[in-house]
Amino acid sequence: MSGQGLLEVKEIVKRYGPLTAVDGISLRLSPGELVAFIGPNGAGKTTTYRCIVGLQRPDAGQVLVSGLDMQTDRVEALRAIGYVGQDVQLFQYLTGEETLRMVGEIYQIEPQQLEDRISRLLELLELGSAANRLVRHYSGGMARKLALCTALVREPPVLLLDESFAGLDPESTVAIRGELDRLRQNGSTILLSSHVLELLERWVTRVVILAKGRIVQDLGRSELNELLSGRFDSLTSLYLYHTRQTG
Amino acid sequence: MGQIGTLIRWRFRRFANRVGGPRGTVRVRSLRNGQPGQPEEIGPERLHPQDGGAIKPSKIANRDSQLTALRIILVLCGVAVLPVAGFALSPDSFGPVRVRAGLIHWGGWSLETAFYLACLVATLQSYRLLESLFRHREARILAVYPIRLGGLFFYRLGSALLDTLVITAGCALFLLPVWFKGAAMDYLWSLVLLLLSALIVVAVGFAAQMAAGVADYRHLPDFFRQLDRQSGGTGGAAAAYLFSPAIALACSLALILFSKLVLEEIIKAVQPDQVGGMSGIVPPALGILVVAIVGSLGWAYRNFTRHYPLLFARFFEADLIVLDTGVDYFARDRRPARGWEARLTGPVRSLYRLDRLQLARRSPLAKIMVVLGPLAGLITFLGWGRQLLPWMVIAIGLLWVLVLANPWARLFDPALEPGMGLVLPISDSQRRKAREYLVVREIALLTLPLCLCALTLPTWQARLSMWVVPLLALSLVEVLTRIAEGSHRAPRLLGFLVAAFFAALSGLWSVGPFLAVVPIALASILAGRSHPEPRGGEGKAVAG
Repeated sequence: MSGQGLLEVKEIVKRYGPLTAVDGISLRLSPGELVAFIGPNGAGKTTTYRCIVGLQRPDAGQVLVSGLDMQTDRVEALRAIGYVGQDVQLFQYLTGEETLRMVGEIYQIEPQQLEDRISRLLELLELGSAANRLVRHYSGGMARKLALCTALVREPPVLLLDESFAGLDPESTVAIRGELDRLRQNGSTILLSSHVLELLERWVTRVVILAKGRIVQDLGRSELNELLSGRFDSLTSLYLYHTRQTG
Repeated sequence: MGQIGTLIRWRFRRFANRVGGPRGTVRVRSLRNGQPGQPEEIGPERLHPQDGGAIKPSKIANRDSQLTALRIILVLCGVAVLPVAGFALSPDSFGPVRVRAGLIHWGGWSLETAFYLACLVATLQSYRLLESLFRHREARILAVYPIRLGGLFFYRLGSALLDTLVITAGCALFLLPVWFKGAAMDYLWSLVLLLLSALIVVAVGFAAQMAAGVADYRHLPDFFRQLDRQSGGTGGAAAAYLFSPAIALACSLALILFSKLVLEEIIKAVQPDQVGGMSGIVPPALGILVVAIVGSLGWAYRNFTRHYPLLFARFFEADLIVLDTGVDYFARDRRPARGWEARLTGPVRSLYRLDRLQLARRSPLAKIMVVLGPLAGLITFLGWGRQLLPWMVIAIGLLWVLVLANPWARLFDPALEPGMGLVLPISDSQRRKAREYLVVREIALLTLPLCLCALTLPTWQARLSMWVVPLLALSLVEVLTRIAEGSHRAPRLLGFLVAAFFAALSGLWSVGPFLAVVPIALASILAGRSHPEPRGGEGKAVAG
């Protein structure tokens, strides 16, 4: 983990009056990493994500994306990020296909490449038959899948997924997992939060556990394997041990 | 231009989809053995299969078509009603001069009316600008995309201007009869004032929102700073944005009045019987107007391109905390049952309370208006009751019911349908009984204050008209709502029936209440028709 990371979060702090939601979190994510960002409800995961993409401003600290400061080079930094938040935000009166086309045009993806990606993603996530339907008629799961597509269609260097697997069917989960693996092999960095720890246990390359706004454990794959083959029988027990320690 | 062009194009596509439904086909590359194959055209027949399934897209498409037709009819009705209302309300002869309270108003009736209409537009848009800049879901969706702030500013400015001009066009329609009654120049001057006002409202509104945001984080007064600390870092932001639309409105109104006075000077100068030409004050006054508009836009652009993400983030944080000052949830829940509620038993009482609380909490403003409205009415009627024409009495009563009770929203809004109540082991008869009690209470609550107001009117005919007509109308709405329960199609037809009833009833007296009630009825239908099917759960997409 030496050198400059694709995503660097330096000592960010976010307070809500007396409550410190994020308390000096630092992260450095290198190309090809798939990082599980886990913690109990209210640990500060979503606030961290929002601070990274600029939806919220940290009270202190800095966010660098490919060396670009999110505060001073916001547009260029955002160009490298794909973000899917906890609450799905989509235009209600566009169809699924139009939504992806609009995103592609904002990111100025070459038209033929965009066509190929849209068609592949829609088919992969079984949204093909709903592609020409307005988003307002999508079910909750379909809307979430489409939101994921809006991030995947850009194939961004940094992908931030906040509880993006919640409410998805197993087929879609497997398909997205495959797609994320493909992106990671191409050098993208993925920061992923989820409460489905069984999904993450054998998949991710690194685990970051958050509690009360602080990182309480940051483990690489080899360290994680070592712990899982010895003291802890699963990622769940490791997670529970650390979160209970912090009270 | 690239990104702005993209945003504009997709904005229009959203509008077209909203009005006419989605169109076109999509080419999806089929996957065979995990490998992408040849692109395959998916036609409408595959997108809307007729062979069933949990969701029938064809049914959704039909419903969209019905709604589109409904929208077109309503817009056409609205467009038709405005000039008709203008014909009924404008004087038969116009003149360039109107003397009122000893003051001469050059521009006459039409410019005066245009001024008041411009003030109404300013009131509406000053608040909507804040929403579109910071709160509208489009703002949230676009906030995480790499869009250059200069481009985003012009996109937002264009959207706001278009929005304001559409509303201004409605005002111009209302004044159109002035032209047909032979005062073309008067109409054109009114149009100039309306267009100028649209520019002023947008420019000043943008500047005020930016100023509020910048002041909020750079020059926060001590009071707000303290509030900010106490309320979790959001109080200052919330406070600044609470005041900003009002400041924008005050500045806009001052400038619109100034524009009207300048226009009056110009109108005076071009009258054939006036000698001496244009007053010397007109050129500098016009200069002030231009400087105010261009200066506001320049200031807004400068601050938008420098600080918008920060302002958006502050606003977003403020929005994360929602304080509902109108509801004291816990105290209310613990309050022992009183009056009617105390006499009910078992599940009927629980359901009655559920509905009563939902109704009360849905609109704290309506709750306050139930008290304030009649009080204001009482004072007004005591002063001018004898001067009210009979049709005004009817129109006031009906408007009271239409605005406050908003029957169409009730017909369509599933919020009153207690989803939780439906899955509880409670019989239909008990559920119906609880509803009936609530309906009787609601009718009494909404019409009795009106009855008190009516007592101040001079004649028994007027007193009865003001109370009995809305009572009958509201009772009918409630009965129809009960009939329509459980049906997705009936409410839409019933909405029309109720609108027709109101129109016919008000038309019995004279054209006055008809013209007053029909636009409100149409607006109510438009406001209430947006939920043709029960909303999805938590996972449903929220969108703009």
